[in-house]
Amino acid sequence: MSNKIHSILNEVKLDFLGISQNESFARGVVANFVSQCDVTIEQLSDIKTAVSEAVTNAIVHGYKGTTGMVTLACRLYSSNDRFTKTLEIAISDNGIGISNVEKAREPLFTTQPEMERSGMGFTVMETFMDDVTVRSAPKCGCIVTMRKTL
Amino acid sequence: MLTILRQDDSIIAQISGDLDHHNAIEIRSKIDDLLIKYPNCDLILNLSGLNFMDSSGIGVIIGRYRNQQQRGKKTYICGVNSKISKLIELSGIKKIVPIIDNPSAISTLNKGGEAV
Repeated sequence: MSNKIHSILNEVKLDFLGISQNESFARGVVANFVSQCDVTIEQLSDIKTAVSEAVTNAIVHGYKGTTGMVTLACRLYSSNDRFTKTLEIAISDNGIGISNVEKAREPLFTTQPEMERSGMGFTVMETFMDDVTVRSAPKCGCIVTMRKTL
Repeated sequence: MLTILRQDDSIIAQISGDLDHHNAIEIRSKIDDLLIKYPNCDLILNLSGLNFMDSSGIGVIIGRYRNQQQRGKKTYICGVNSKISKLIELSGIKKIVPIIDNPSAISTLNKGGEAV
């Protein structure tokens, strides 16, 4: 990132049940949060898609066959130059975790081809956001943190 | 939301609203039921009414393409709008599922066609 983070402008944290109905709810919350910035339609679409991928991963992979809570945290930072803002979105679960994060991030890798999972989730997040980090270990859940300069 | 029409030898599935993991399950099964009933039909997926699609939608398209291929039938996509074009492009799906601009089938969609 070219601009160092300056200070927090706004922050929202939300826990919701990891069921598929809440995928659109999570996208809606983030879209509302971002609406305080001057974002383009394309930026908004990128952010909603990335959030949808991360939440779907938590539900489909993290809580595979079970249900648990998903946490969505949104932070908006001002940059040092004061002209740009940085959006940070963290989506976390307490599910089964990922044993090999590097492998999971490979394009078209999926553990559930029979469920018609395309294996594109992380690729979409990486393409549509500026920066994506994934922290996970088996039985320790997963936290995906994504940033985008607005 | 899903509207399905049958016209000649094509099933036209018009998907509107959001196509995510949640909606994919129902949309997939409704299209599949119809294609089992009409196994000699090609499939046209009209995406023009979509406001949102994520990679679950790509999974739906690839899955339908594979099923159709097993029957020796074709699958087409039409109506790729600005809200989904970036994902469609990223997925590379057009290498296997042709994108058609303005098929004759679509022009008659608005006039009616046979609802199934």
